[in-house]
Amino acid sequence: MQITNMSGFSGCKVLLYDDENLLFVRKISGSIEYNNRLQLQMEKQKNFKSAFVGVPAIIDSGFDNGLFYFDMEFLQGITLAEKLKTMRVGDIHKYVEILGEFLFEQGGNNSEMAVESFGRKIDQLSNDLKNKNETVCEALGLLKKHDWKMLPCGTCHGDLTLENIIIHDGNLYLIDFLDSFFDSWVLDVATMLQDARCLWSFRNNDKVNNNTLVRMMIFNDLLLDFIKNKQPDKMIDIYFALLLKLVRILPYCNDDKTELFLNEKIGMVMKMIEKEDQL
Amino acid sequence: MKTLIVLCAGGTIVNDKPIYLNTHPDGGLIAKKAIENIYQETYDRVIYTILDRECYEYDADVILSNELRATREIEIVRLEELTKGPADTVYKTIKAANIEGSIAIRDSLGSMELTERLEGNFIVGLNLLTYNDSIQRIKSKGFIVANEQNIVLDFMEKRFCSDIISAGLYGFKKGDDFIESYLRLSDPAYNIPRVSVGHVMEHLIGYKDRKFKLGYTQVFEDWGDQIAWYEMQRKRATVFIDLDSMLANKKIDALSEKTIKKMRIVSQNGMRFVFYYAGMTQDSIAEFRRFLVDNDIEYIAFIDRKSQSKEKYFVNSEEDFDKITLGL
Repeated sequence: MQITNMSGFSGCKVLLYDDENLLFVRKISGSIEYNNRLQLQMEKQKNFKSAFVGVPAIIDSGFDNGLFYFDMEFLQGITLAEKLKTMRVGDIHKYVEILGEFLFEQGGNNSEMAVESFGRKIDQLSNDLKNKNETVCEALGLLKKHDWKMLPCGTCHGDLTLENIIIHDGNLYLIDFLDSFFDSWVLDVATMLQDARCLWSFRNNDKVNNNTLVRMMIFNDLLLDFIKNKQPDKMIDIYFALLLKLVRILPYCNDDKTELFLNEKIGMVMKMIEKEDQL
Repeated sequence: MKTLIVLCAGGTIVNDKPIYLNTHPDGGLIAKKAIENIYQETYDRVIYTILDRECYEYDADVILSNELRATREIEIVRLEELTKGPADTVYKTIKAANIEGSIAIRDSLGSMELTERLEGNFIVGLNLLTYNDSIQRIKSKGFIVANEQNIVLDFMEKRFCSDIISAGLYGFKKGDDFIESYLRLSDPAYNIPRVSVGHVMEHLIGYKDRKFKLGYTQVFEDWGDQIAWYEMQRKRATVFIDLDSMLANKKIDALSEKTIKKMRIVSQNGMRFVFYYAGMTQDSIAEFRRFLVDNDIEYIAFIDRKSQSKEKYFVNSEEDFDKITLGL
């Protein structure tokens, strides 16, 4: 049996097992403390249902040396992040429509729980962020004032980056589910915009290929248009969710370049909020 | 209203002047060649966009007006400084000249020959599989993907994804479409350093589902930068061949097959031969002329230089002449 290390960002070990008759992926918890969280993620993946996107089937789960693991089918494909770099511009709308339908499929109802959950998160952030500059203070102020109860509470992926969407045989599959402090499709959109609008994955690139930038822009614009057409009143919540995502990264930031990048994007999103408020 | 915008504001200098003010080896002004064979007569307006400083330094506006007067009336838009890229140049031209309706955009960095009129949204491409010449710096070109109905599906700058490259002529059915997409692409959040006309087309296809028709040219000459310019000049160079030295008292059939083949190809592609001799007999010269004709090698002249001196000079100016005659 051949075992290959696959790259990942979650702190978990991800291995590809290549047996003669079977190819599967094993995700192993990075620590005993993380076991519960990984189990929740596996449950989320197992219980996931959608008419528009798929997930790798869960094959098995268990413990190995005290660390939780689960096995899932291996899907040979390409991430949406990678595909977008060279995707035909005329094909982008196809994937946006699938993702858009999936997002609205998650549904959800307004909930007072959102006020409590977000309130706690924002308070924690205010404490965690030691050297708050003017931009960050302004962002925290906006986040505190926002009425989060309009956020639909439903199901969501939890970490819907473009790297966690796989194209396999022309269909979309989601991987690397994450347990979230609040489940809402709005947060999934915010995660996608972190890449498509804020270009988070490219923050360390000195130069990004222009073809990639044009495609990211088209993806971003088509996605936002899709949402505006169906639920225009949710746009402001999406932008606030994006703002919160960016501010949440700051406490973990350990280099000036990333901090500068985040400050710039936080400023940009606040302008987007201002513009949306005026509409 | 249909307007053709010819972009001459890139700032490229060759032979100490803007590239578009140079003369093509066939004698035509480069700026004029850019609008030949593209049905320019079907446009209501033809506008050349140039840099203001080139009017002061080179009388660019005067030269263009004079040279093109016989062909058609043109307008000139003068830009104060270099723009952020070709799409920015188009945008500024549209604003400065109050252009309405459809636009076509031609870069002045090459020539082509259309076999059909193109209208609305279109791009002209060159099929590399059937093109019989070489292309300089192919990596810098825009590549077009189209379906069997010649509708453009994709366009990528500087990335091999097809056999068809952009030849430098684009059409946009609505100038407003161009402006809207250009302004979107100028969003500083994406920091696209140099928005090209191709990017605007990509955006319109991907975001607004606009259909662009692919038209073809099989005739294409590129002089987009100094390298391409000199390559073009080299292909059409005048070559002086010292027959006495080349043949070195051997018979004509001592020339290698490789040399004969190369002479045929380069002469048919524009290179011009002038053969000079001193020690050869008239019979030998006649034989060599027949040899050239039999091998489809074109030439201009045979010159008896009446001196067997090994010294030979090219004189392009009075200074050159002074140098070679110094002390004589």
